[in-house]
Amino acid sequence: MTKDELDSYLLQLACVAQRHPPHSQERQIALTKLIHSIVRFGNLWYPSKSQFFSNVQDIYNEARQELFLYICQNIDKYNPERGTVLVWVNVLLERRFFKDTLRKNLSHSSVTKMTLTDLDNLALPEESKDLTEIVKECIESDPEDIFKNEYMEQCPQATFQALAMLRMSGKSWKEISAEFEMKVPTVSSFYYRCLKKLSPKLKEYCENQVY
Amino acid sequence: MRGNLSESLTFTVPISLEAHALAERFRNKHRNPQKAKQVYLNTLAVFAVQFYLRCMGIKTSWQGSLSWNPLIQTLMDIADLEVIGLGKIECLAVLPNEQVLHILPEVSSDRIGYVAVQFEQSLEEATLLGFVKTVPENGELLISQLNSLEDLLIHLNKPIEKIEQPIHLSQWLMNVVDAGWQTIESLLNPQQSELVFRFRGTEHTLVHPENSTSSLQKGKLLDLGRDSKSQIIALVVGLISVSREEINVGVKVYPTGGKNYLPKELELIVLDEAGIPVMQATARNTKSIQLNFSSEIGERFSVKVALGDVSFTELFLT
Repeated sequence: MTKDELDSYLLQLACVAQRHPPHSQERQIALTKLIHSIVRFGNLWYPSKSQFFSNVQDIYNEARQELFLYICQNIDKYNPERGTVLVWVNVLLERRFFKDTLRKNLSHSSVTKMTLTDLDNLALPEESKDLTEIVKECIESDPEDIFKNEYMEQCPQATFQALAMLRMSGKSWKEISAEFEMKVPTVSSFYYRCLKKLSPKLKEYCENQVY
Repeated sequence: MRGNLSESLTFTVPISLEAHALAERFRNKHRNPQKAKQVYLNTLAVFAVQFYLRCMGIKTSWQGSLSWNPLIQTLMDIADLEVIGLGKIECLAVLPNEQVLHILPEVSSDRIGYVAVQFEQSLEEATLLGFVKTVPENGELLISQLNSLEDLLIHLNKPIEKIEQPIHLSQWLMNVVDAGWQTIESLLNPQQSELVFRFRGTEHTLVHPENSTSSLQKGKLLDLGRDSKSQIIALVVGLISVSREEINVGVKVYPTGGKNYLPKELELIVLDEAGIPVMQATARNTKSIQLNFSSEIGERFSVKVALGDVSFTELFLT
């Protein structure tokens, strides 16, 4: 696709979005296509080598995030007579959002940003007690017999307490459903509904533990 | 449009430090490395979907979602996002080169849809790849089976009652009751709550649910008022289990707030699975309306309560 073709396509999308009211399906679809095409083919402005410093990528990411949100919320401000969509977008990115983000100077530079590799090589956190352990203890001790009293009529052994223990010890739904001779969807949706219902109770029990 | 523009529609979300900080905060609560990684990625996936919907002007509540709760994170692999007024979307993290997604059955029961979120090695950005309404029976979803984001927008713009999750009545008999449904005593005055559901000429007084697993009743309040005038009525659903395959259902509407009569012209309608009305009654000088029918386990039906142009429809599954 030539640059002219891209420009006229983006212009067309911007005009469709402007023609339809905010929150309408037509505007939403046009905006999604617009951002998609800008990202895929649009050669977005990128900070030059002279602007390189250690966290330039973080600042650029934040600036692009702000930019996409701005485009979606303010497409009506785009005026085709003053330039192509890409000119409008790149000026906003360079002169407004990148500068603003830089000025904020990201006070949260202490954030550790993980990559997938980091997540595969995690050191254990220093915390004394694991939340999983705390939750396990709460469900096991069941001070008011709430967790063992949630069970399915057709299988009284399949209490919420038993299911939670099995799930937390890493048992698959397949294994669990075989154990209780029930279908996977039956057991798992029961578990899910119990969790929705019991989460306030669980919170109450765990709250006096530090987590 | 020509060639390369016909590729499927995606949306790229640059991941800000703020999102990483949140993922880190949740990750730090879990010692098990697999769980920690899962929570980190689930958090970024929900963040990306939430950001996209924000761009589209669609309101969500992450804080009101289960994935925001570290205790729940320990008990499930969950990345739900509550779309206000519609229901939960599950955000599925996709690792580089992953072609098949494995969706756990525990997050398959009440979702209005699933959005796949592709990550790169660096976790600098996330790309929303597409969407499906439901997950295949075996919990395996191929990336190639995803529908486009355009379909997601169409789906979210449908009238609410079309994508509402049904209320699962058989679960009520197992003491799992959906949010918003309460005991009768808390809704009605004592005269009203001495309910008698009549089924097939015999009288069953429904016993208190605590004493029984074969019958119960629950209710909820609906406001059918217009503008700033409220007109609150109680909708009560009673169940009597007949056999393993059959449940008798009674639906009933009552006035509340000390009123003795239902608003005139109030309609109570039961519709079948296809949305076709099968039973209908209208209030004149009426204290309450009741419709009874029996349902095979697994059947769907809906109940509509209407007053003028204001109406509520509840979808049920026995």
